[in-house]
Amino acid sequence: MPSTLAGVCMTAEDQGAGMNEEDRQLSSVALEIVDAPDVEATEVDRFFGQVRAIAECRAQAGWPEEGDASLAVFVRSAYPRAAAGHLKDSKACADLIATTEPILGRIHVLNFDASQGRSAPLTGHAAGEVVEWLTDQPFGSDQVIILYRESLQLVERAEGVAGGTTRLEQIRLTPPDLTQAELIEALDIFHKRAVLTPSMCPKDVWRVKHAQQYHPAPRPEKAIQDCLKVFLVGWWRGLLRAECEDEIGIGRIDIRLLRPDPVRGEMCYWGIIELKIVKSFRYPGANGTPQTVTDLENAQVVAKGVEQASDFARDRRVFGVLEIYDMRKDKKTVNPITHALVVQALADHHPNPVMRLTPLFGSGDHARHAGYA
Amino acid sequence: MNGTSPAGASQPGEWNADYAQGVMKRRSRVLLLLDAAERAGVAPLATERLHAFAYLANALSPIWDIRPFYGVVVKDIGGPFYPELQREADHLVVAGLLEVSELRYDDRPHEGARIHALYGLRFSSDHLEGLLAALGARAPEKALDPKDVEIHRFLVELAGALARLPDDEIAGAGTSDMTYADRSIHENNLVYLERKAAGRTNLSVATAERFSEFFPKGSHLSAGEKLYLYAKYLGRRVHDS
Repeated sequence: MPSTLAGVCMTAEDQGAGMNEEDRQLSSVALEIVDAPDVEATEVDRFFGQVRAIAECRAQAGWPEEGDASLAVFVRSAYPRAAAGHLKDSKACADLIATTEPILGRIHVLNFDASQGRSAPLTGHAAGEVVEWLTDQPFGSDQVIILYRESLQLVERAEGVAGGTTRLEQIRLTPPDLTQAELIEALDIFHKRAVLTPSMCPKDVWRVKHAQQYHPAPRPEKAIQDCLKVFLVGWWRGLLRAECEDEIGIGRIDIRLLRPDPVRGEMCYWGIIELKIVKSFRYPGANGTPQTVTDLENAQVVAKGVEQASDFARDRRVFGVLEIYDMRKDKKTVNPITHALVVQALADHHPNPVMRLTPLFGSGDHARHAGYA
Repeated sequence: MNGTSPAGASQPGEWNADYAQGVMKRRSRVLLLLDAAERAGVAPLATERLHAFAYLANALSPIWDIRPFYGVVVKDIGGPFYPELQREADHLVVAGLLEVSELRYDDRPHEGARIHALYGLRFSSDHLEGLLAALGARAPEKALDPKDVEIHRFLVELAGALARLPDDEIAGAGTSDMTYADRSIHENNLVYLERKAAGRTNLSVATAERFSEFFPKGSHLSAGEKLYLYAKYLGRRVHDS
């Protein structure tokens, strides 16, 4: 399939002018990294990302060769062949993205990349009954994702069908644009779905049982960074690659965004995201007493973020976003973005990054009081 | 066959501690290969696919900083084939740890023959779970040797990368591999699979590492991503051949 970028279709002939045939082949394969499974993610995230890609690929193509069935079930199994052994009329299935084998009305028991496994018909199971039926199946704590065609939703139960819903994702009928506005929208959705309150946050953002007191875990940036990277990979699958961390002379950048450049035949930087945390408390050690973080310290963190994002963006000639997660208890009295240190950093470093102060709350009630539904 | 490999050097008939250890290592290798194939959803594996997978696991293990299980293989017109692994796979069938189906003999030149069958783990075996745990295919703390956990991770990632190829391309991936297909190595000669051995560079690893050339400064590809891209590249080579 030719690469696409911002709606422009590039042919193989466009790729890598001046390269020899072997280079051109290697370059062409390298650019397909944007379609690759996220091999550094957990198996749960990896599987979800691939199932989402299958669902969106089918939905955007208008559900080719599908009948009237309204849902599909995807089960991640450590051993798909064994797990599907009891299913009636099961058959091998592979590469559900590239093929048009119907997926609706079927249960798919697949590997961690959702690329191979077995599938069987879900005959006689209406949408309302399928969860009950799945509960009776011997899938135990295997991750289950149910695709609902009518509502265009993917509902995940990562710890097995008997566990609660762990993720609910909308199936997009049009591919996302590769624009700064789309990135901001993605960051907003990530904020509301993945980090707004402790119940949805990745572990290691808040100190266990201390979120209501606004005590962060030792390295909340790292926990959010990993989660955001997985989210962005899923958001722009096929268009963009997200990478974590970069130790370079001009500082460490949390998330780098790369896009394929079919004309040059290589991946190139598209943008960067620097993550910072402002907070009210820190812990000196596992059992230490929480120490107060001053407004000046928070401003220093933000100013450093401005410097890093700006220098990297200038060096790579891309745009930068400075996403500041606000884990402070009092978010109203002082705005760290307007501190003199930050203002000075903005004056000294160009281009200025897009700066966003994104609130995280220590409880669902606090989020609701702040106006989040 | 064994060369500098860790797979044991003694021959059948010399039943001694070294040989017994070699047998155990080879049986363990077969179990781990099939465990990875089962996890990737490509099992049961036909004989030629099992040997292609075994070969690629040797050829690409330096990407994962692991030494090849077999450092050399004889180049054969029928594709990579490891008689010792085949023998141990058949022993594991007899031991009830593997299941076999569609068994037949394929004729080979010079009145020879190769066994063709589909091999998979026999999940109903009472011993399989404990063996796989000891071999690093379960929680790391259950492994007898911590290094096996990493070897298992590598095999699963490789099997996952190969699982993205159409079924008929997986077997062809062995013969289309850059090192195996090197025209300067003629049939019945040895193919060396260490990163550098016998004055040769492992072309499979060198090719996989070349993908980094198409990424900008500061970016990096993980070992798993290199496997994925190389498998994709092999798929194209099989398709174009």
